[in-house]
Amino acid sequence: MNGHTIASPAREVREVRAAPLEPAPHAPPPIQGEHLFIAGRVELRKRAAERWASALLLIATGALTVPLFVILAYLVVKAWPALSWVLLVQNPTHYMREGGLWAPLVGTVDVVLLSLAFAAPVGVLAGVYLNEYAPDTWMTRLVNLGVLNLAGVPSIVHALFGVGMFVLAAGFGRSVLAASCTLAVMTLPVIIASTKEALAAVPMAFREACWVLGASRWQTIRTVVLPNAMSGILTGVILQVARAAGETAPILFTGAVFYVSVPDHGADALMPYGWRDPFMALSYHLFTLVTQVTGVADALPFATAVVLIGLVLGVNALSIAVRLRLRTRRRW
Amino acid sequence: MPADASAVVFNDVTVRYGPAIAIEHVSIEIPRHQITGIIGPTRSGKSTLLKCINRMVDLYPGRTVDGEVLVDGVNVLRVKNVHDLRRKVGMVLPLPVGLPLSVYDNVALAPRLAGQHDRRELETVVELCLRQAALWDEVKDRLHALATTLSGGQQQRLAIARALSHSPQILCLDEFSIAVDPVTTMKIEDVLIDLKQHVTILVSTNLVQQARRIADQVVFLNAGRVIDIGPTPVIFSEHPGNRLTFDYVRGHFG
Repeated sequence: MNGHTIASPAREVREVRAAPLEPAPHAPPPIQGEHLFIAGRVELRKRAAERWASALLLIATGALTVPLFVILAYLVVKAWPALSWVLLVQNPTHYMREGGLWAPLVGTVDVVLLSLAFAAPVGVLAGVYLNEYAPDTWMTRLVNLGVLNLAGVPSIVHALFGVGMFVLAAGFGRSVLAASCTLAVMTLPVIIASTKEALAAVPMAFREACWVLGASRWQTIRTVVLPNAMSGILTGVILQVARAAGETAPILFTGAVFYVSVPDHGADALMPYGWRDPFMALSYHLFTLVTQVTGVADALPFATAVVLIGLVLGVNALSIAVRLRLRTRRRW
Repeated sequence: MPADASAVVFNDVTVRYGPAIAIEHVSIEIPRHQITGIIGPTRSGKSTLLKCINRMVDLYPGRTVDGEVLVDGVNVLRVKNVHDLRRKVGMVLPLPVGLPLSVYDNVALAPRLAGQHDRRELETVVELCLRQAALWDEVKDRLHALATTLSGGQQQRLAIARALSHSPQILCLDEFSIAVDPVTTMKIEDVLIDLKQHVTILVSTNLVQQARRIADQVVFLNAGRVIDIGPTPVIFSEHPGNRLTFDYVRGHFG
């Protein structure tokens, strides 16, 4: 640079223009026109990394979803000969070898709904308490830790607890009630944890803005916190419904049986099992068709699996629909 | 000074968050129906001072509050019903928060929580408060739009309308302008000057000039202690009560 402290504008312009006129020997051609924004070495490396990263993420996503669709397609293809309306509305006949799936289907739905009636209110209220009211003490932390650990306990362990607690100690016997309670115990910790998470996602600023108006804790929860956490809470609950519908172990010891004769039409068809009676369930029915009955048409177990998966996917679709509806309200 | 001239009296108030001292030995009087500006550098205790008045300070576990804060002669630190207290002492927080309800429901929330459900009464209150907060003209056609869709400046005025909706006798604004554009800031300052006929106002602010523009009385806090207190003209004169004040208001430190 020259030694002038204040360069005149004209001189600056002349210097800028002069620069490209004296290229160093073997220097690349001056950058101009459409080459002005050409990528340098750093940008090229950045772009390559970007391409690798997105390819890797795409592969991971594919590894996750492709098997899912392959399984679904395989099931549907294998089940195709047996798929008909009769499957959904008739009982199994001829020692399970023919007929439909009404009894196990309605058994699964009833037990899951009953377990939901136990677990959802308790779980959501407990989650609200733990996130909104509980003081931060060692006791609260212990409870939170316990909830998280319970959520990770294998379902067969819950099943054994259900046998000891509900079938034997409470005297429910192997029944709809005992199985529902066991499923409720299994889903409860996850519902508590997901409720807490949904509540924690509501910004603290909303609560403070409400408290300065003189609102009590409960008023704040009711008017501001719960409405905004509702979609997350419902998602958690509904995912647990899907899990409860698919689990076999917890009902295996607590109430599901090989065969129960129930009406598949008429007024009693929707609630055919008594509280204290054993019942049939889809997941257990699938297990028995594959392992306990001989001479079953190949397509029937696959059709059972399709119905079970259809039930779970239907519940998940419901959760997505509910979430979308609630989310239109929530924008911050 | 007559007994009812001061709306709020701090008597040797010390607040600690665990071992950290937020404010100590604060003894000041806030005159009724005036604007009191609270200035001081960050972490000097301005917010804590305000939060003592409506007991928002309770929300911090591990805090201890000593001394007494008198609102109309009642020591609010011993008040059992903080909800009534908070209706009497309105507060506007630093960051604009539109509750995720409609604009109308935002302002109607406090009256509803207090048991007011008469539609006509609520409509009157909502319109009055939005007008007082200089927001009515901008939102009167979309009262049922979600408040979170308003701009930041509008949301802050909505917060003021909310604070006014429970007709407080004292209004505390904690650095209300840090997330608000200058035009809205000026609007809110005009609003405050209008409001002081009915309400005692405390404004904590980082902007020394804001205190100079709107305050009748200025409190200067530094490191949790009251360094200076006096009428605005004195604080901004060549000879305030303390040399530090002179330096601070001229930007020599802080």
